[in-house]
Amino acid sequence: MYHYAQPLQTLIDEFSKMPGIGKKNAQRLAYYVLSLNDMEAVALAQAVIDVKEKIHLCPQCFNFTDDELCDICRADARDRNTLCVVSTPRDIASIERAREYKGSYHVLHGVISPMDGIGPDALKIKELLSRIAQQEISEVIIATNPNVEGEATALYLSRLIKPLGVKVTRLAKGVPVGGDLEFADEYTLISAIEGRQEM
Amino acid sequence: MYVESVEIRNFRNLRQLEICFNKRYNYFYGKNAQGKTNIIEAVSYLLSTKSHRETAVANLIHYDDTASVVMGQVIRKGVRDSVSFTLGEDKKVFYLNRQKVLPSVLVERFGVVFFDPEDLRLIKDGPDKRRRYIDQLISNIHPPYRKAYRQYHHLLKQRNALLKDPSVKEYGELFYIFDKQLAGLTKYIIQKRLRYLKEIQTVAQKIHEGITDEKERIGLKYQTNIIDEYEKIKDIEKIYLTLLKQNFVYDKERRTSLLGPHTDDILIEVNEKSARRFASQGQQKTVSISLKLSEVELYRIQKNVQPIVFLDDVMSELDEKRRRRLLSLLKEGQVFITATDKIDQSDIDKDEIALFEVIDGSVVQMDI
Ligand SMILES: Nc1ncnc2c1ncn2[C@@H]1O[C@H](COP(=O)(O)OP(=O)(O)O)[C@@H](O)[C@H]1O
Ligand SMILES: [Mg+2]
Ligand SMILES: [Zn+2]
Repeated sequence: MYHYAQPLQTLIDEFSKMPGIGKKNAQRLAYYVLSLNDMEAVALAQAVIDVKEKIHLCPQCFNFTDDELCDICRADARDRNTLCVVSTPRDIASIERAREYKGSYHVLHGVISPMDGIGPDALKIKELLSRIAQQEISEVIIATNPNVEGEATALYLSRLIKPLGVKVTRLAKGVPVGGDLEFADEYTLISAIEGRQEM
Repeated sequence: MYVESVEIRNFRNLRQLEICFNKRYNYFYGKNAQGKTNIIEAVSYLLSTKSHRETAVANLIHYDDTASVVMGQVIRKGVRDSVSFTLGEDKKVFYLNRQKVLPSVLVERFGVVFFDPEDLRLIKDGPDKRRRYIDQLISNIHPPYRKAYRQYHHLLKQRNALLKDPSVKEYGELFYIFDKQLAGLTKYIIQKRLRYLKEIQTVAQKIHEGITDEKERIGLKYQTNIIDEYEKIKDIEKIYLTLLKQNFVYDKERRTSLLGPHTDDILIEVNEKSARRFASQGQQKTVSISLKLSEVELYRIQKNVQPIVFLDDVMSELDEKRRRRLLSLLKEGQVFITATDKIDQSDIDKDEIALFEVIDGSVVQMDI
């Protein structure tokens, strides 16, 4: 078998740990990095260091930010009485892209999944409850994915929050395009539409 | 619908093959372990995107290689489809007319009924075989069922993980949030199983009368611990939720979920008596054949296309009389057969059969 020079092999190994990157792609990326001039290579390395050093969680909504509070928590124009609960920071980006929603967010950083050892305590649920207790929240919209764990988490939250006298609604993401459509007709869509109403 | 030809590369022990098929019967014979099953497995995989033998993708690729390709020409309602798949490391990719497609697209488009000796033990074996029979049949005819079924099993995995967690000692919110979903799917699954059992029963009865000279009556009864009368099906979600709560101590003790569609069974009767307990071996095989052929017939009725039938090693399990009956009942559509012996083709028109001898992964077409 052919062996790469050690530093190259290390870089290939690091790339292959990334999601969606197989061996072949890792090699391609490593050779690309090798082809960069010194300035470009340092800029890339610095970007990796910066993202780790400067990005932290917003203490209010737990989105990623490089500031004290994130942009959305800081913005004056946002409605602070409505909270949209998502499982990852990436979900915020996709909801924001639609430019419809004008309220605030809360990121759980995961969903309840016993087989992955993730219980409610591993998520930012306590933080959500204390936010509801401290701020004047009138509506919580739960926007976890419409899969088994997303639904379970939504149900868990609604049963915690509803007794506090706060309106809870469910926002299911659009049904994925493709083979899922027919089943969506029969089952998911029904629960998605029902779910849009108050929980 | 029929497969006109295939090209196979590195699929199991098949290095390189090109075969043109007959529209009706294709008969592969040869000694054991030559690749007969592998050939029809490749063809059925192309159309149904899965194998009747549960295997990882890697096991389907020739030991000495890293990728496999199978291509086929399928004529469906007079139109030619070019279908192919590639297998590599952990990946399988399907193509329809050179466009990448989801497996479900092919499953929806082509119908396959695969029949192996296991199916002849449908009555003798455990409840899991009968569940697999009904689940596979419904999924084939009504693909949304497959998705509901998968989701149900995924939920079950989550629930069983909770049961195995020593820190969870009582039935609380965490169970409820999964059980609520399980209950919804349970209703869906049981409703569908009941509905299709009824349809199978009607079709199977006709087929069975054709096979047996005596007019035996076939009965199919769904058996579940969740409800005792089927009028209660509309309340099954509530009933099941209550039951899960009541049964929690037992589930916890066994660290697995003991109640639900995944433990249900089908009681198969001949003349109002349990076929499992009272029918002879031969009778049991005949009933199994009737049920399997019902799958072919139901598919045709519901989807308006004749599915392609695969009979892997089934012939050798049957006596001469039953063999002839089985072939005569497959009076339409394309059929792939594997066997160790050369066929006695006296019943079949020469133009309607292609005969292949399989030797060590290669194929020789024989004259009739
Ligand atoms: N991935 C593989 N690569 C090479 N050979 C394989 C692979 N999987 C199975 N085989 C071989 O295929 C043969 C079995 O083929 P099969 O079609 O089941 O036989 P039969 O003709 O009895 O139906 C065995 O010799 C087995 O070693
Ligand atoms: Mg075989
Ligand atoms: Zn914030």
